[in-house]
Amino acid sequence: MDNLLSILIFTPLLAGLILAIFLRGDDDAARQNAKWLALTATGATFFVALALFVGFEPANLGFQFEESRVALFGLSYRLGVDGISLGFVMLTAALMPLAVGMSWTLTERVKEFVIALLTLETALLGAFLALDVVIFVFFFELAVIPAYLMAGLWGRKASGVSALKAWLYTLPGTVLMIFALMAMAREAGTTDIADLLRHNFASEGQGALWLMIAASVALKAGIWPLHTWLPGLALRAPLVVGMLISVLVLKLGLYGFIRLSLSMLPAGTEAYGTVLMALAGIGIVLALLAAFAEEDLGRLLAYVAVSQTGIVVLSLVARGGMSFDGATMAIVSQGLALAGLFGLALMLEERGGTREVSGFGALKVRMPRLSWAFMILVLALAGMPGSGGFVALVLNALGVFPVSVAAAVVLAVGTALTAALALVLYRKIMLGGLVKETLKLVPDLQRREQVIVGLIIASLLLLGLFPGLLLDRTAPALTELASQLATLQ
Amino acid sequence: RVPNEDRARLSVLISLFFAASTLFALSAGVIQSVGALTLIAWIAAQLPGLDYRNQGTGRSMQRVFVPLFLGVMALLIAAAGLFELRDAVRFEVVFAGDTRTVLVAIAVAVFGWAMMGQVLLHIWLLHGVVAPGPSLPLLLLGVPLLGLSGLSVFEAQLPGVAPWLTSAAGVSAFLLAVFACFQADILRVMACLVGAVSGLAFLAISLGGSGVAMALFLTQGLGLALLLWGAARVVRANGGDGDLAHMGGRKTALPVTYFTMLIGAAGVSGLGLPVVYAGAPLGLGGFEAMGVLLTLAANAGALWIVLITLFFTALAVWRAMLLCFQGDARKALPSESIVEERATRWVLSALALLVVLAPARITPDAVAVPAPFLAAPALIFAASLIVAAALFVWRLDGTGKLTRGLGAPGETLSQGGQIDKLASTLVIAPGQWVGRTLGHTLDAALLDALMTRLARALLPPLAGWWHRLGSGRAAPYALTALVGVVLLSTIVAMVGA
Repeated sequence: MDNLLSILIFTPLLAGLILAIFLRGDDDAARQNAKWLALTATGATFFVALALFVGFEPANLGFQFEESRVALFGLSYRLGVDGISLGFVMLTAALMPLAVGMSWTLTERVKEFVIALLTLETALLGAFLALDVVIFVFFFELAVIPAYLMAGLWGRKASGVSALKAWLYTLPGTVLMIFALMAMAREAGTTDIADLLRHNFASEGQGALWLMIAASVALKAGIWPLHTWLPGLALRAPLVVGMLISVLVLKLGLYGFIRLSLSMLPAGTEAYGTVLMALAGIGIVLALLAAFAEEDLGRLLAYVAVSQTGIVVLSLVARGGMSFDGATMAIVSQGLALAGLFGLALMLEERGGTREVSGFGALKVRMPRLSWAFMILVLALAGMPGSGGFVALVLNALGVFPVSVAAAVVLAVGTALTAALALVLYRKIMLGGLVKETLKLVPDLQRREQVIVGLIIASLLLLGLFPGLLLDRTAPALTELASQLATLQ
Repeated sequence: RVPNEDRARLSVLISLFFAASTLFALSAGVIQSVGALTLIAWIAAQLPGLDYRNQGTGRSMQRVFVPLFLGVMALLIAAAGLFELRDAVRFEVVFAGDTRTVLVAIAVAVFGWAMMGQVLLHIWLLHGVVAPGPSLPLLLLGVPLLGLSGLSVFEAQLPGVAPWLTSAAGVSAFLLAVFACFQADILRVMACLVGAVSGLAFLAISLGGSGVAMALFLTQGLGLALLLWGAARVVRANGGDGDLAHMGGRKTALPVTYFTMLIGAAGVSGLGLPVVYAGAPLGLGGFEAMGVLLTLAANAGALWIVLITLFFTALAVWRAMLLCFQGDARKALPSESIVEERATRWVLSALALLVVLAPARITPDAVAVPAPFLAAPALIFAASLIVAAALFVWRLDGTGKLTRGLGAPGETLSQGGQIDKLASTLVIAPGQWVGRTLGHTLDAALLDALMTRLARALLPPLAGWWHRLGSGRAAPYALTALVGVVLLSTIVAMVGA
């Protein structure tokens, strides 16, 4: 089908424009209309993504569903999807309707919030599907605007400072990335990503280019020690925004790392990969230790996101076919698990009026459905068999060990710490004594919430029991990338 | 009695445990084993959560799961190593003494160490005792047995680190046997004994005797199973109180339980249990297994530690038996106590008979056992019984009152509590300090502090600009549009160039 990718990218934006132009008023009816239109648009986007997923041919290692047009000022508008970007696209398309569902109880400036959310989806999908570096950078930077606006304007006290701070963090990275990409485009004589992937950049220059791009993606992806903007932002931002940033915006950074640094600059990865692995390994452990000492659920989960990012980076830098598969599975399954936990945290906040871990207790008998969902999601995060997390864990361990035993040990320790953290959270929130009288008659998950959480759990189980559904489509391209990198080592 | 609402969960968990164990047994590869063991670790962690005496804080669940999961992660590392090092044709890994095969060996050892509840990772045994009585042997013996099976499979990976393992396992078994002698709670005595017996089995494997390790664990393990079930019955009859200081004289009220535990004590303390051995008439197989272990230990220079461990193991058993069942009752049974109903008597008797008469065909490794080592278990049995009885009788002092020392459990802090405090001081508190330092102090300082100051400085002018845009005046719009056009043109020009 022609223009499938453009439809996928711009459906949310179109819905946002309709809302901006035609929706008037701020009464209940207007708010409901805004939410339903957003749900319809994101739902439609998901089904288009599903059609893309089903129509994707794994054996075709190049870009598929390509679109190419000449845009303004001679720039080319090129879109395409391959096995590398497919996982990111599916995760984004799947989580956005759930994010709308999680925001259903929002009452303040709903129209603006929803427009920002829809713009974010367009920006993310555009970045994952762009086949021209200019278009890629445009969408890459566009994504942070709605994300940080949502964090700043709908957040808690001083959220504006946190949001602006987060943007200031990414600004130097943006400048460096633009310079690096321009240098690469000048050397290759093209801004086309497919051509840049085929081009052999001069080895002596790759190191500097790699560092410039790595700095940018490290900031965006929250790689230790450049992660400090994320917990601060997550502390102030609404939990649904914290979820979008911790799960999706971070993945944008990881995608940039795979597409630009790993794929285009292998000599740079060879030169500096060990350093990055070390930073990622340190980040895995230290972020989890920080999470243990954390009271605020949003910030705690943000630290977990930083740790998970470290695991993915570790697997990517290992550059093996198996570790690439593990990284892909980790990105999707851990992203889903983390999103689910953010959702449950939001549900707890709505009932308990607090995001502090110590503000809950003895909820297992009062909220059995939420308790079960919580247990399944924390175990999925820890890599319990039957969930996608276990598949990711095994593939990562098998892929990382040949490259570095120390990294494999850090991976195992990080997983054990995640499991310990998961049980501590469960124990503190679901077991123990009742902390507040107001929680005595707290209602269990409502239908909307059951649907959201149920879909996430079902997806995790599907990935765990049938990992081939995802890996069969993504593995060929990743294996090809791994073999190319292996020949260059 | 397990409350009705928890019986269904208990049945489900026990069934799942058997299913996961079967999966482990049938696993064709290490990864499937890792998956099965992870499930088993989680199921094992759920059992203490059914503690009807103390509907939980969940601390036991956490402290059972984490050590077991650490062990499983170690097996995953070993699996990754075996996968990488495997011979392409034979699919096996030969221990070569290089770094990677040593690391695989260490990973396998850590797996066994955790699953078999050895010192430092034995905390799960002590916390697992709060699980419902029917599931206790499953948890406290089944999991170490799975660890032992796994270790047997990977025995070929251990030679390079075997001397270290022998020493470590010997020390661990000894320490756990000593701990058992100082426990206040009868169930914790049994838990420590499980660890001690597991440690001896671990030692046997490190000496290349996987056959005798399995034989030892099975014979003594069967005895421990009877002891665990019996102890759970005693605790229930005592109204949930497991303190040995609050028992005494219970054999009158619980005769079948007493007899059952006596058989178990005989099995653990060295007398062994009757088994069919290599087609010979009914004999006491425990002798054989212990004799082979002592022979192997003597050849490796670990004889004394094994002997002392066996002695303290037996001593701990008899101490618990005497304190619980003999003498006058130091505290009367609660009036609402549920003593042995007919059903319980039948079940316990059937279990004891099953354990005694079940033909366990044990074929320890072909080792020539000197006569003294065959006699040693009987001597240990006798010595430990005499010493325990003497200590017990002497401690009674004619008044039934207990004084300080070996027989005064009420005065001694439960060792599990001390380990909790030790773990808290050495591991948890430093971890939390690092987390707080990083998360709250370091993260907020340095780069983040600079960025926060910058953001605070920039926010008011940006907010002012935003406000001016909303004022409807043309000038701010024009200026913003001009800046945007200049930026965009610059980028396009640079790209075009």
